[in-house]
Amino acid sequence: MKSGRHRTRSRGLGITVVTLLIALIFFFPVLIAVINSFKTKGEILASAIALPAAPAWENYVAVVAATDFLQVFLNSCLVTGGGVLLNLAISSLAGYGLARWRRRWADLLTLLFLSAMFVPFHTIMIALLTTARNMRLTGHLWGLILVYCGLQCPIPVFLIKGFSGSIPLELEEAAMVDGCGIVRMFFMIVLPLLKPILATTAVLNVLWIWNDYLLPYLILGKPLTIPLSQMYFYGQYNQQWHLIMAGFVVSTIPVVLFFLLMQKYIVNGIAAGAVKG
Amino acid sequence: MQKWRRKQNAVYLAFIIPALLFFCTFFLYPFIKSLWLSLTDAYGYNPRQHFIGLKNYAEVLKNPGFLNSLKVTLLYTAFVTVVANLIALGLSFLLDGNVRFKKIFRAVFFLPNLMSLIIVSFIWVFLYGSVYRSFVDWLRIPEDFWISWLGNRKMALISMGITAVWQCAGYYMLIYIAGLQNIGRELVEAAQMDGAGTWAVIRYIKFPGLIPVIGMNSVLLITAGFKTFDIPMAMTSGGPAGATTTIALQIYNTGFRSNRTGYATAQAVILFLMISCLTGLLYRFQGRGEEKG
Repeated sequence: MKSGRHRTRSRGLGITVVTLLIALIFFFPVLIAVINSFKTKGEILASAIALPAAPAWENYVAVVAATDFLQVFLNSCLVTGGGVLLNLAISSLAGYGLARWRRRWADLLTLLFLSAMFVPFHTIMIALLTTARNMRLTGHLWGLILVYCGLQCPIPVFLIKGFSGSIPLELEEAAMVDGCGIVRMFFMIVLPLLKPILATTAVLNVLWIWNDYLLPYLILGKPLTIPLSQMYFYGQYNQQWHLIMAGFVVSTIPVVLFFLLMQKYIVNGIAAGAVKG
Repeated sequence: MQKWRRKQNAVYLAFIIPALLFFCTFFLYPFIKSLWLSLTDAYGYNPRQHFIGLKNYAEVLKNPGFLNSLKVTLLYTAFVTVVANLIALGLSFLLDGNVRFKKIFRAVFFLPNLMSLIIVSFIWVFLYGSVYRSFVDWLRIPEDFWISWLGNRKMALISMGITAVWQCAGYYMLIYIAGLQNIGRELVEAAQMDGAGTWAVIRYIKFPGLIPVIGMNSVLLITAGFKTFDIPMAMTSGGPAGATTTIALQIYNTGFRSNRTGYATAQAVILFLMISCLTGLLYRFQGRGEEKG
């Protein structure tokens, strides 16, 4: 028994060392970005793999000022938060409605939402931009929020519909017998039960919107969100890698913090794919 | 009672309407409009369009630029699907074993997936350029053996593929880990009791158990590969000489650079048809595989 335990432990050490080596290779690009963000332009020209003599914090100061980082960061928060919350509100209503509405129409509408998953964004891109222009949504953050809200619908509606179907009807009926209206019952009873699925879809949509480039580029046309600002900055400060890398680090920190806080939901949300398959 | 039911149904319908409104405005209407635009000579945002039948489609299928982008996309998708699957599978087997600091490793492998593709692309441009040159200098490798990562037609696509694999492998690893956890512990333990080693367990229990998940990850990777835009746009702008112009980038260039919106939409509809046929086929194929197994 003793020797058996010893064997598994030492085997665990071997596999840990192997994993560590692979993790170092994986981490290398990030490490390079971080190291070079602390170097001066001359130091990078001399060697991109050497360590800096002293950390050049001034790169960060310069980037935060040049990109108007605080404003851009707040814009990204607004678009992401607004888009996700508005979408959750309408998707949970619709998902629940579709689950409870006992008409053939409900199945047809679900199918309609579902079929949208087969259509790549690039297929509707040009027509969508024309629509947004005609509705005077282009150039505005709120316009972008509305478009995201519509584009995100299909998956949350489908997931919430499935989840709502599993809520026991007796629970709702009991509440209604006690004189609670449907709308109040939805907010008091159904919505709290939907929390896990709402959290999962929310965090995945947050990651999507936060890092999305093409749609904000088309709708806003100005470097107002973080990916757009980084793209613009890269074009402006061509070859000034010390500043570019500092910009990358600053823009990646918020999303890494978000991951550390929401890790459980993110991992569960992605893993849900395996169960579905 | 019936009146009450009818009222209830009206409320459910009212619940659905906001989402339906958003969906129709920003998805369904643009989708139907795309089908129409692809049959017209639409130019830029000019609202005047003329119906020209299937002329755009005929031109797309003869256009060397589009056929080239199709070839590029297929090669790129094949590379990323195979390599990312292999790496994600390997990582999931490692992290499913008795590794210490599992959560930290999982986070490290997933980290690239959190970064915006724009940032990922530029970091790799830096790696393929400055960092590679520093390594070559440091190791004193003679010039004849240098690799032009992004400047060479053949190499550029592979370099892009490596970037994509680095970015997405952690995501698929998480799906594989979940798949491995779905395989019963008892099954694995029973096999170990019968004297099966680590390899035998992987070969005869874990790997077969993962086959449906491999199918699903491949569907996800293939559809994502067909839609690749950010990486070629940021890393190479489709160059050198169109060697990395994917279909999505080609659509973008035709629609927004050359302003031929009708013609670009025809390409976009073809992309849609390819993706839906492919996913349909793959799901069907996968379903049959499961029935057999």
